[in-house]
Amino acid sequence: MNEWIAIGALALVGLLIPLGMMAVSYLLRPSVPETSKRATYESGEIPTGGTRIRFNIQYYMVALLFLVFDIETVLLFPWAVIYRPALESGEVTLLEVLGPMLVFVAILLVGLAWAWRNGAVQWATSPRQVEPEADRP
Amino acid sequence: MTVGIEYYVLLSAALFCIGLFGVLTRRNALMFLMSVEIMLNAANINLIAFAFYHGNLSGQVFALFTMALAAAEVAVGLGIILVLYRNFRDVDVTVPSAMRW
Amino acid sequence: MAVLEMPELTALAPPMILALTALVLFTYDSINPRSTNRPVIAGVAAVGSLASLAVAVWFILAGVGTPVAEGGNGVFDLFEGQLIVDQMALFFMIIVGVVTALVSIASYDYLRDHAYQAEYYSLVLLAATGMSTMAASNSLVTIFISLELASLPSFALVAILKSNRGSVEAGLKYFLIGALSSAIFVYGISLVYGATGHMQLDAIADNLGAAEEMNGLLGIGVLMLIGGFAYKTASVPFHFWAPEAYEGAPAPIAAFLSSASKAAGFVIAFRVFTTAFPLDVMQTLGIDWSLVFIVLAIVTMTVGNFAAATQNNVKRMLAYSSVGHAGYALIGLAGLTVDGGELVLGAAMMHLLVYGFMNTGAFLFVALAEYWGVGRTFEDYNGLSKQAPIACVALAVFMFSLAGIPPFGGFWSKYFLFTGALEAASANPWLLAVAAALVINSALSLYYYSRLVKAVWIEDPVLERESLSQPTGLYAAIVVAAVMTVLILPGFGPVADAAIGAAGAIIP
Repeated sequence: MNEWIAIGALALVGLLIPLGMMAVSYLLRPSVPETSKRATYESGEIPTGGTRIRFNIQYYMVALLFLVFDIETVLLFPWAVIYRPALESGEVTLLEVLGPMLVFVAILLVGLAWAWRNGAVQWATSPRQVEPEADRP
Repeated sequence: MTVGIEYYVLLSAALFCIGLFGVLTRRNALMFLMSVEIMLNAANINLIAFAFYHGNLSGQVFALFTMALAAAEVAVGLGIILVLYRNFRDVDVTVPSAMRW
Repeated sequence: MAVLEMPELTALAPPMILALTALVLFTYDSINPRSTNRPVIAGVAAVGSLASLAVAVWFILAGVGTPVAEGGNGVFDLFEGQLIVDQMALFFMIIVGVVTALVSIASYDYLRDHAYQAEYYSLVLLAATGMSTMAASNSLVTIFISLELASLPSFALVAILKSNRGSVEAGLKYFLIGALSSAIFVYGISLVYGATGHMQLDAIADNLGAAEEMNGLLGIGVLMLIGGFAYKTASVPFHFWAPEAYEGAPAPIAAFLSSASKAAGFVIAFRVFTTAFPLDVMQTLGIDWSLVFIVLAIVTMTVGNFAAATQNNVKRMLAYSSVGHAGYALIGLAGLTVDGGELVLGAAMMHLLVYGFMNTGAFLFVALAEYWGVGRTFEDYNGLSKQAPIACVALAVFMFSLAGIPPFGGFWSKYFLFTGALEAASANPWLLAVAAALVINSALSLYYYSRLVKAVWIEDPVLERESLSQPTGLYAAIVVAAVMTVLILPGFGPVADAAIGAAGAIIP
């Protein structure tokens, strides 16, 4: 059980240090309330508008493409793990190991080409070009 | 010393129930989606813990596939929520109710 | 027939052809973005699905999937048992191919003003690829992946009419229930994996004995898997998405989902429960899943038929009737006993094949009505036979076949289900209740099916109509579906043999 005591002690210390620092600073600091201190920090500028604004739909398209292609790389991992051992074992040819992954990537490329040609990655200069309904509430 | 398998199952069951609770109570479609993701990740915890427990890798590899499929599901789901917003001006799942049984 | 020499991967040709066709359509759309060249796009889709169908039929005739001992070419076992091409897989690949071809041909007219032509057809084909692969899946991993491959394009297809509120609402509901049920399904997989340590179905069956100490986990896992199947097959308790999704979706997509998607859901249920969880072992573990399916079958068919009888909207009536038919097909699993059940399982497979024709045809008639713009309720359909007699004859065929009236295919599959259930009742008396529910529900279903036939043929139209156009693609698909529904009666011998043979092959 002694390993667990070490972990518990670490957790305790990790909790006590920030709490202690906050307590010390609470005791030592002068209190000068001022409205500009409460304002949202926007690089020194005067903040404008709320935080809950609607983003341009283009961000969504790019984020979506990124999400799909980023996650697809996860599927490369198990293949990468067996790639060298499979080749070194000499039981399979290079084509048999590399081929399926090339097909996989080729299918992804078809998808990317389709998205590209259909304007998913084209950045329009004004949001209204993309969304003619102008649906701001 | 290792953590017993039952703790992993308890953790994942708790996560699954949190997700299920969210699914049943949230009306915001995005919250619904997040709750479903929690449920999928509960399954991932199980898969990886059991892969370690049984000493074979199929659970781990399947967890990777689950993650990829969850991402694809979110991509399709966000698209549907987007057209939902365009048509109904809301992402509340109880608003579209033209069809009733 | 001589043993064909072919590399193992070619056994998967039917789903691969579908996938390839989808990629061809994507490439075509990348070269000509937003092309609305409907003849080319719909033609490619139809040719691809027909080719997949033809290859599957050829395989089953050439004896692919039949064990070598019985004079066939042997069961193809790919990637260490992850995928398997046996008779049942080919049988369901045929169902998927039939429905996909009919839907692609019918969509040619239905989508005449639609902006996303190539996307629509490639999504249909990708979903069909998933369903076709589901037929061959022999491991929980491949089952889950192919199930998602079938589901994700379906969500998009239901909501594809982006500015139609009904379509979007249907897509949302379908997606929400689908996402929830896939999460439940994958959690069930993780529990089954935890209890047995394997994903491959045969390996699960071999390791069930070792699952003794994790019996509870296994039981919950099996229940969760049943939840996933119930969603995919639109049966109770995950049936409530079906009326919404089918009513709001474009009618060809409703046809596609209610026939092909349901059949694909059933094939994985059949395979998982016969291969991975043999009834005798599970009963010693205290997990008697056949009882669950008996209850689900009775409840599903009753709920579906009673709800269908109260509908005024034709598409919604058909949606509930498809829930009822899921209940009939569930008898295939409910009727399995420790030492037999291939008759009842084969009957369920036959029913799904016949259903693939008659239900697709019925939904395509609704597509035709939507194409004409005549309206959605029974009254709106009044007197259509005066303007469109051929389509209305076909409709009468579909309705009477769905109700199970003797001269049509639907009667035979129900008859086999009934006799199969009675035969199995000697081992499990609960099946008498199932058989009784089948008869009562079929009688009830005759009421609402004949109501539609009466509206079309006997009632006078409420409003005077202009003469109606005759769209080639929709008409062709409906007529082919009707002809097949009738022709399957003389051809029922081989179909029944194939189905019962396929069922016998997977029952241990």
